[in-house]
Amino acid sequence: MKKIWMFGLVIMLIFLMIPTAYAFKVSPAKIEGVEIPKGKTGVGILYLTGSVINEEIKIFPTDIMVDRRGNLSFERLEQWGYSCFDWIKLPEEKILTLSKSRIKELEFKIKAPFNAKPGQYYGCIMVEPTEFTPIKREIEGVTTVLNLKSRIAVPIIIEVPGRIPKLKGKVISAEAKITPEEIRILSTFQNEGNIIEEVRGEAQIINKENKRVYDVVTLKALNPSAADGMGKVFPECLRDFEGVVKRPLPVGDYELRVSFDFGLGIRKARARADFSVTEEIAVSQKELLTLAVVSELLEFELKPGGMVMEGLEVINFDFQSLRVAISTFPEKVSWLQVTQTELNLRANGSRKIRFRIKIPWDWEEEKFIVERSAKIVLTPERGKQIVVDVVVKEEQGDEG
Amino acid sequence: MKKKEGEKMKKKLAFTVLGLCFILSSSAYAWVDAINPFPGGLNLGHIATPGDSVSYSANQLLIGRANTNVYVTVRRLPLRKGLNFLDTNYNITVYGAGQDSMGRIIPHNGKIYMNFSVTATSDFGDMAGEYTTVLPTVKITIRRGSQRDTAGFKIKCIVGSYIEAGPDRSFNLGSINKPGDTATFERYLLKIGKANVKVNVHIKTEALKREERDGNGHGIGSFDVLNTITRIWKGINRIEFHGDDERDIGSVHPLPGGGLFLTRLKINATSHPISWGSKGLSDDAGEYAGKIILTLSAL
Repeated sequence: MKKIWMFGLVIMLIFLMIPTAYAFKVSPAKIEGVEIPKGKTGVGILYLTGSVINEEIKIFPTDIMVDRRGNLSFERLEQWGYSCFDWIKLPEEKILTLSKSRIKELEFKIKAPFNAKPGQYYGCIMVEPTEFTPIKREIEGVTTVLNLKSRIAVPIIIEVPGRIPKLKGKVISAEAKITPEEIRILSTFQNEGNIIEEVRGEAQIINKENKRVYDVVTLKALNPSAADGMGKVFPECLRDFEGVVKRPLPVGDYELRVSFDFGLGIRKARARADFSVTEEIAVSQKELLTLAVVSELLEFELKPGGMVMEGLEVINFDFQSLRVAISTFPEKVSWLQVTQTELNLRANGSRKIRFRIKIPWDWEEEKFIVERSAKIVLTPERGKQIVVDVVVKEEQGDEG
Repeated sequence: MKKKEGEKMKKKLAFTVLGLCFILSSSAYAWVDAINPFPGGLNLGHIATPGDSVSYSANQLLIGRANTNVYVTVRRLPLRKGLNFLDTNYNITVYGAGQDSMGRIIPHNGKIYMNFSVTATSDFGDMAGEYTTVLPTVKITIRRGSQRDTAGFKIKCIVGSYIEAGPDRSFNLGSINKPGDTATFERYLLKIGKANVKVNVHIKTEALKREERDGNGHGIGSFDVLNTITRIWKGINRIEFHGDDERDIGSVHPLPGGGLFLTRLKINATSHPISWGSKGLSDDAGEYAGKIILTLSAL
């Protein structure tokens, strides 16, 4: 009887190990800050650790870049001046067999050519299994297969010394796309420097007649690199940004002033464009944009067990009083509580709603979980719904 | 009589002054001087792969001078980054002439020494980055009466990054039995790997398809393609992929312990309602296969 139990236990353990059976490990996950003077060769080492089975993996260099829509691309780029693809020399053996739980050292060389200009150069070593992992099921004679492959791209950032990193950029385009539903600001930034730039955008909507600023719109990168809309832009590359006008604009001519902060503080890349709001658009905007908040992104840094009580200012732009329903998404969030479920705002009035964040002592795998996100949803009886992102990060404090 | 008493008082006063001078002069000669053996701090180096450790060991480090017996205390602090602590083990011996304890030390030729070794071990739950002792660890406090001096140094080491990729295979699968049916693949809390850094996830999907075959069973290069919609939830945000599609879904933070999870993955594959014959499973029936390629990178 005891033997049967033991056998059952072994079978169960094998079954539990199946999901991770095709896992391999790469360390380090990123190689950066390596200085290679022109004409010199640097050596890098990747540690590849096998899983619980023997597995064949393919290793090859490729390019890495963030495209204008914010997606990472791992395709070979022929014409990009900041690629170090040609500099990476891998060993002859491109397909390796990783033995179970064994560590294999992969030594590779990077040679910066004599004609390389000072600056940052980018490349990537792709480590991928040669085979897909099939998930196969047959029910009533029909078979469906889902082939999965997980691969790891190790970014390589090389610095050719000789010049102070140059931050430079310009606005390629700026326009207001007007529909009855919304006025969307679209703009594109180009990095003219020689390193990756972290870019944040903003647009001012100014009435040409009275020179008043009617709205300030945060331009967020598509697929942003941070919650505040920051976009990383590689040298010579473009990145698209967009934002929506939150306040109803009266009929008239407007000037759109777009500015991008790319790391130099006061010095920004700027551009201007004109647009007009017709009566039809103004009426539709007035009907839709009844509500605004300050602001649509609330970030907090807390420790496990930490608590914060905050206020969110809600403004009514409508000419009548407005009833607003307040909820959270997901519906039941234990750590985020809004003190009221409804709010009445008088015409052109504003009020603060209070909410409380309390991080529970969630203990998992010997550590506390702090990072989490949710949304506060404000639904007015007329007009557009407003969604506020609430993001909690772990406070990295020092203890005495 | 009064004269005699006055002389006695004078003598007493003189002795008191002399005694005080003696005490003061003898204590002025007792001195201590704590010495920091690593003025720039101690860099243990780099732990290339979590699971490894890094250590440093040195004997006969001069940590102080004194001309009298002294008391030495040593503070040991673990290496940490935020709320992450490395497993830090110290082996410290302080000694002078003969004694080897942390308590009262008799200096050897006026010198106090330390044998010191430290080992820091990282496990797979530790995030990558620089770990330090927040305050000067091995703080040496030497005291003798009112004489006191302290010295200390910080210790640091770097924990390297890693990514482990591995598809989770525990999906629930459905099947298509008649035209217009939808097969559903669904998985909550899909584990896509492990890491100790923030990882960007790029996903490439391919629709479920089946190559049409000739009478001999050979593929003819054209495909029956199912209408495939892949929905992926990252936190509370849903991202949709239609058929053959490719996109970043943004960065995923590892959970404590290193696990990288997507909250949910759901694939709906619907067959074309008119492509199958009235008899049900006809030529279009067979094995349909789709692909998902996940690329994890720490950029």
